[in-house]
Amino acid sequence: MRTTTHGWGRYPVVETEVHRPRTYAAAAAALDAGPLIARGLGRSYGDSSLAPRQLDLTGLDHLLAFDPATGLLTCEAGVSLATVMDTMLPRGWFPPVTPGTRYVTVGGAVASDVHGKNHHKHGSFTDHVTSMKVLLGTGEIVETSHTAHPDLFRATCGGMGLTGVVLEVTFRLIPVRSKNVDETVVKAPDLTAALDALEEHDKATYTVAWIDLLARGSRLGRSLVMAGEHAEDGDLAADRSAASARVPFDTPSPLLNKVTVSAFNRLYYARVRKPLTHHTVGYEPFFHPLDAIADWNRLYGRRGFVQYQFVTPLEAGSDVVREAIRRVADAGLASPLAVLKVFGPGNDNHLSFPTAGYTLALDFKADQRAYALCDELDQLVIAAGGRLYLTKDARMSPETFAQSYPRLAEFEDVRRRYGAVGVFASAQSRRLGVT
Amino acid sequence: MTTIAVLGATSGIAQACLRAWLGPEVSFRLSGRSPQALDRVAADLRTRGGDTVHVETAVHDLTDTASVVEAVDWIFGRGEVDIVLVAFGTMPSQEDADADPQVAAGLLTVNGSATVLAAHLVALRLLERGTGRLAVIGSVAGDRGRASNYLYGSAKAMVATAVGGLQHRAAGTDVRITLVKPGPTSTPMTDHLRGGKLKLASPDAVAADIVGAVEAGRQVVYTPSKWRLIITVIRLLPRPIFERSRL
Repeated sequence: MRTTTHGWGRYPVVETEVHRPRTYAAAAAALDAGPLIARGLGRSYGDSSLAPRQLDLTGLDHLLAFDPATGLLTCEAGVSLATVMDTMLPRGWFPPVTPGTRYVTVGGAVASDVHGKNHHKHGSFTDHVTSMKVLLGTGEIVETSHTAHPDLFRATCGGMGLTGVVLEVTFRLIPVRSKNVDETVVKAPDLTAALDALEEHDKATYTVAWIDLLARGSRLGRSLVMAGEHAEDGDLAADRSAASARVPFDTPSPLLNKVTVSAFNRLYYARVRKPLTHHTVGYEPFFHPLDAIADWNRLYGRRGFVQYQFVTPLEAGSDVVREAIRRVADAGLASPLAVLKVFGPGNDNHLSFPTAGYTLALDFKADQRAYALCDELDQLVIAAGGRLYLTKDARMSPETFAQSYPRLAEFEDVRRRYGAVGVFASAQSRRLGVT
Repeated sequence: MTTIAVLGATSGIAQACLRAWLGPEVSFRLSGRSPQALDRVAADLRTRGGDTVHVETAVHDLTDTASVVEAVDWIFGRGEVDIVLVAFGTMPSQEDADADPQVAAGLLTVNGSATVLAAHLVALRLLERGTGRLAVIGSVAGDRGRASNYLYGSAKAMVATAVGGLQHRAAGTDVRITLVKPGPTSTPMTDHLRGGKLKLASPDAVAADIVGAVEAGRQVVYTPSKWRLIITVIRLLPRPIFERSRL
């Protein structure tokens, strides 16, 4: 069937023909009609799940096996992390890594090699994957792991669906004693204080800094630094709540502008009165605060928005982050959702984003000024030896991509070896020269 | 312990109902046509439910008299059953049915006579025991013949009439029979309709309505509930207006 689709950022919008397989054989059969890209719940922001032909994997939604002795869960790629939490948390198990929304599929988590607030301790999602079934461009379905076709495994983890279609994944859940998180919030008056707080709390399982990007001058980088641990109180009943609010339509003139964002940020920051607070919160508000508002992406209006996330290596120092924050603050472009984190070491996958360093995630309403600012930030990031997160990208140039992902050639070799060339491509990969 | 049996367990609506019925004291008996699909559904329930969930499966074609009889015998031969859901069906496109009389005949048999036979045989067993719940999937398509799907609709109208008769027969007993009339729902059967003008209901929402109606012992449930109103309007449309519509 033909329709139009877009990513979570609602830009760009493309015409597409969607196939929705319910069996692995049906997925394989869909390859006969031409190049395509797999897609899950469409939470990647830019154009990485968009193509003229899309394979919608949400119909493959079965859990297949769980072993409480090892924590290993096997499921079809279209299962969402929300389902994993709903079904496994009451039994004391939790996903090893969760991004800022639980409405991502396991297949998407592999393709994007998603990271969460525990990256500095536990790495990214695919560091917990032990094996996968992948549909190759040849129509063959192969099992891959660190020992079986390890080159395919390294390329597929974080490979944006460009090596094949991830059909089935086995990954290790972590045992927890509570659905709740013991949270510490540090009020950091400027960037130095925020970075210090992140370092001070780096023994905590989960850490992140929420930055008020509209604070300037001496308050530049003003943040709330959050650190969390799974609680021990034995309360495991999953919060099965659906979103409590919904944005029912595209806001005509975007509700998020400098005035509202600034007011929101001031309130958010002022809400926390003491410099250091401890409290216990549910896993939903801790990990996925925005999931409480369904379709929050509509707040940016019909034209959508651009996410921008970069990482710069630790060696380059925190000055790059400081400079980036200064430029965004000076530009005065509304970006209410700015998040800073210090990544731990990266892994051996060819295209995985995380690497030891500072990562900053911002978003802007999609307009010319925002794009100009992003181009400027690109230069800064590349010069520091950093890179951009493909899952959030809709605008990077092929040159920037090749410069910042040094293992691209190895990745392309694997694609050639496993028959992926000419079969798996997205709007993003075509833009970046991977076809 | 509640025992729930499903004929057509791999259907999208059946799978959503099974997940909604999952609980600590539940045992499932599942009959379906595809062994591979049935294995996945069983594995899914076992994995979601943990050690306490008991699932048995059997493969039955469910397109002819003999296999329907065999499936009902299997279900009741394994011990007592509290709830039975008859959920099998097919929905080829009207164009395919136009092009091939075999497709048209198969559609009428599976959705009509085989479904009625299954409901009838299950009801007899429940009446014999004097207690139990039966839910049969009909369709809003059975409420008025429309150009786009009258073959499917007529088969489902047959089901509605049969269930009405079974409800009459079960009156005064502790057997409750529910006719489910889903509007277009996003399931494997309707994957070819996705992205069209029709907004498909989520199988989870439909399943929640079904589970609630079975629990309450309701005779007819439209799901999503707005379809009761929509279909009433369609049924009352005067013929000249109806004939100019494209429904």
